[in-house]
Amino acid sequence: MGYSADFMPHIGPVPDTPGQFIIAGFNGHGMPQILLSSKGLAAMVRDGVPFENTGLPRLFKTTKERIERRDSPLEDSFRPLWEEHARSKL
Amino acid sequence: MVHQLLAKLLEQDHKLNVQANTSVTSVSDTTDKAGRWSIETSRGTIKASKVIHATNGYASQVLPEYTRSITPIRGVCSHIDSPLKQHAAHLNNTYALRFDGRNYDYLIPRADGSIIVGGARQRFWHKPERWFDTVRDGELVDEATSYFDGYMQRHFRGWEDTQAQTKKVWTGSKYRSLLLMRN
Repeated sequence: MGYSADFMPHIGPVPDTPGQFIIAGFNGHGMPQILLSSKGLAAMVRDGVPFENTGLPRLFKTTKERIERRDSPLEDSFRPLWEEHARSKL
Repeated sequence: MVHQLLAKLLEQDHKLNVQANTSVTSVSDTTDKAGRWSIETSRGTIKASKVIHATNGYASQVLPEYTRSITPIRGVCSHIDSPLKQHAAHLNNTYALRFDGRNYDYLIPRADGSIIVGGARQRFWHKPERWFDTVRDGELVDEATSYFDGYMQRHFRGWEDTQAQTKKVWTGSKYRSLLLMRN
């Protein structure tokens, strides 16, 4: 499974890499999302439809901003659990 | 399901070429004069003007810029069966047993009465090195293996005397690398 730092999948053109696309990072919940997500991606790949016209949620779009983000709400969500365990070992 | 989808595509005349069990190791940094990327695979190089990375947890292995944004994680799953099949109450639905805000298991009953149960997070999620940022699904998470013993007896009425037992436990990064090309 692929967990994404901001809990949203990455779909669409890979930034600064024309001709390459990604559809990944479904946080273990891909099965109910990948069929329509793939339909949207197919429109981008085959017909050059912009992401915004595919009907996909805007938060699913892979962007440079999301990729270059340094913090990780995902890891933040686990940190209390991990730190508690680390302390218990001391 | 994936196999059936691929089979349907192969039956149609789309000139679809499926290379199963073929790992993509890298995609070139630049395109050739015809605008095609070079994709290195375990069975040679192919060229394509369009590349789709449908690689989920493996995404950053070919696209390192996604290292921070997509992390591979490892899950634990089991197969529970009863030698006395006729005595086990058949479950008509899939289930998720939620224990708290973080921990839950999922159950997928099979037509033969056996159950696929995945989860066991309580046993290992507090140790990131056991599951977070790893694709090693060739090894078990030992802390979780015994979790499924007696699981159905504990949680489902009618299963107390079925002698249901864990038949198999495995880990999964769930997906092999798969790239689809369009020339």
